[in-house]
Amino acid sequence: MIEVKHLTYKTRNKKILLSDLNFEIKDGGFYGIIGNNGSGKTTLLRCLSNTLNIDGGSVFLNHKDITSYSIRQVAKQIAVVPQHTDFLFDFSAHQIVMMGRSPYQKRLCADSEQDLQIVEQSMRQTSTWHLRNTSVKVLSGGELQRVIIARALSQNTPLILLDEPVSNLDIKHQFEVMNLLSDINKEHKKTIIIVIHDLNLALKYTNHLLVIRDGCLIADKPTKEFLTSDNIKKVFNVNSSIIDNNQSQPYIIFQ
Amino acid sequence: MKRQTIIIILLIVALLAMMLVGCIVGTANIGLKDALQVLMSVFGGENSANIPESTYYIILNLRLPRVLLAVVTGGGLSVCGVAYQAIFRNPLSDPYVLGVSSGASLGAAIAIIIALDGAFLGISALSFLTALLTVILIIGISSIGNRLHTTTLLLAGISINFLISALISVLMILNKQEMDKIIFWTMGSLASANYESVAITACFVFIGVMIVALYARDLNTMLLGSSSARTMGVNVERTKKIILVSSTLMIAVIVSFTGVIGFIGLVVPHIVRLIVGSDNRRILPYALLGGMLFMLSADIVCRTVIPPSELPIGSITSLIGAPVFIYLLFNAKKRLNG
Repeated sequence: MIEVKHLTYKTRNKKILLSDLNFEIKDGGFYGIIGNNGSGKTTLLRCLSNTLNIDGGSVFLNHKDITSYSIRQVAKQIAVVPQHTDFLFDFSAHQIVMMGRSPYQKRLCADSEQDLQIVEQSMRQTSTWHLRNTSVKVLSGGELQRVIIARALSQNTPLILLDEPVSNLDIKHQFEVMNLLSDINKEHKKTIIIVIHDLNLALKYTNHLLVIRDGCLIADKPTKEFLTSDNIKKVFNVNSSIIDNNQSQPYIIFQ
Repeated sequence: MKRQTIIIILLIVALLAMMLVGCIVGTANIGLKDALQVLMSVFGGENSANIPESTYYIILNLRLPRVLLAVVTGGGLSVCGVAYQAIFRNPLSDPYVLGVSSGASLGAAIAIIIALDGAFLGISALSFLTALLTVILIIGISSIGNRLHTTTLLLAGISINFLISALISVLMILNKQEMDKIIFWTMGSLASANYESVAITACFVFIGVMIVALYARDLNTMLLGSSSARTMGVNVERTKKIILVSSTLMIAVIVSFTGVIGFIGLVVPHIVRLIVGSDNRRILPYALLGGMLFMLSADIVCRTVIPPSELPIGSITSLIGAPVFIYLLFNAKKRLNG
């Protein structure tokens, strides 16, 4: 699906944010990107979705350099759920989800029957259909996140990138959103890449981790293989132990 | 019939009625029947012997072009406001508040002084140049990284407005013989309307409105932020350039024929948004018709309240526009305070 070779990104004042990253994203995976604040996770996500111009190396989407695609073509392959979305203007949830259809729509044409169907389907799937006429300005954090995910679904892409989709949610909504993503991954065979801070959620839901520290990729391993007390100490400098009694989900306890 | 279609039809009927009123009222008293007959003569009706020549002249050469110019420029300014608000992602931005209209008037003043006013569209061309420079300056001052901040945007607009009115004052004092002409652009007036100015502005407004309509969906998506819009397949940089250039061209041509008339691009889209929401595809037709109606009504008021002299039309639009602007500013403040 995506292949990254020698990816490097610098800021305008030449500060290196990502240096020489090499990895591959395989179809159907549920990938987690973890790392400390400021380690370059969001930057990486933006490079993968071609919203930042990289300074070195290349990102290949289906074996073709991502920069050789038009913006519209990329939007039909990759949907992004950003960390924040500002709603300065009043849109209904339905209008927001319909925006996900824009890479498929022609100028001056009204929304087609197919667009309406896909939007309804995405909204039902994320349990936001009842909110369709509600203004996004009055939605709660969890509802808003689900609406944005519905928008990403209506974009009908094989790949969805999410930047910390659960960081601002309470525990119930965290699980709700993560279960939803898990469904999307398993039932709809969509590849998911998610930036996540909560290692227990990462352990429960993702099947592969990309670990970033100071702009370098320090691990690219299956989740269960990577998440050991030693590695957590190395990357985050926090002591922990992992409880795994083979009956339930393994759990990380921080000390 | 859908509610929206009904509103559109009502707006069109109101606009036509107002245009008729615009042909009737004024210093010289003309009856409704006479006015209708004169107007019908345009469409091939016979000239009636009962109506004096002067009535024909007043309606066809003085009032009708003025009514038409009000309609065309009002619609254009309102759509420019919609475009600016979408591009700057800010309900407070319009060409007048951001100083772009003043920028265009500076170009007009310079054109007068270097005697470009003889050339076809000479004033409009120079107005466009200075208006576009103003836009570039505003974006340069107020963008921090990729974002435009409301406060800096408004401050940039205010300071540029100050700078330009100072420059125009200096130009007027240095060129006293042209003062009367230059002052026209700073005050704003539809009094100089003729069929030529109507035809030229109508062309530019038509093209400008069509371009904004073509990009209306992209403008919606861009309200969620540039990088979000990009991930949804919008070529943000190109769209911004196309919309800014075409709407600034509209403003420049309008200003070069009517001078600076403020707040239409702020008031009308705001009221429309209250009724139809934020979807630019829906806003556009209402904003166009609303702008036409607003400008026409303002012009009729300003030339009838103290006959035979006229109020400057800018004073009427500001009288309504400034309070709306202040109200929006209060709302923005509330949002910042949580």
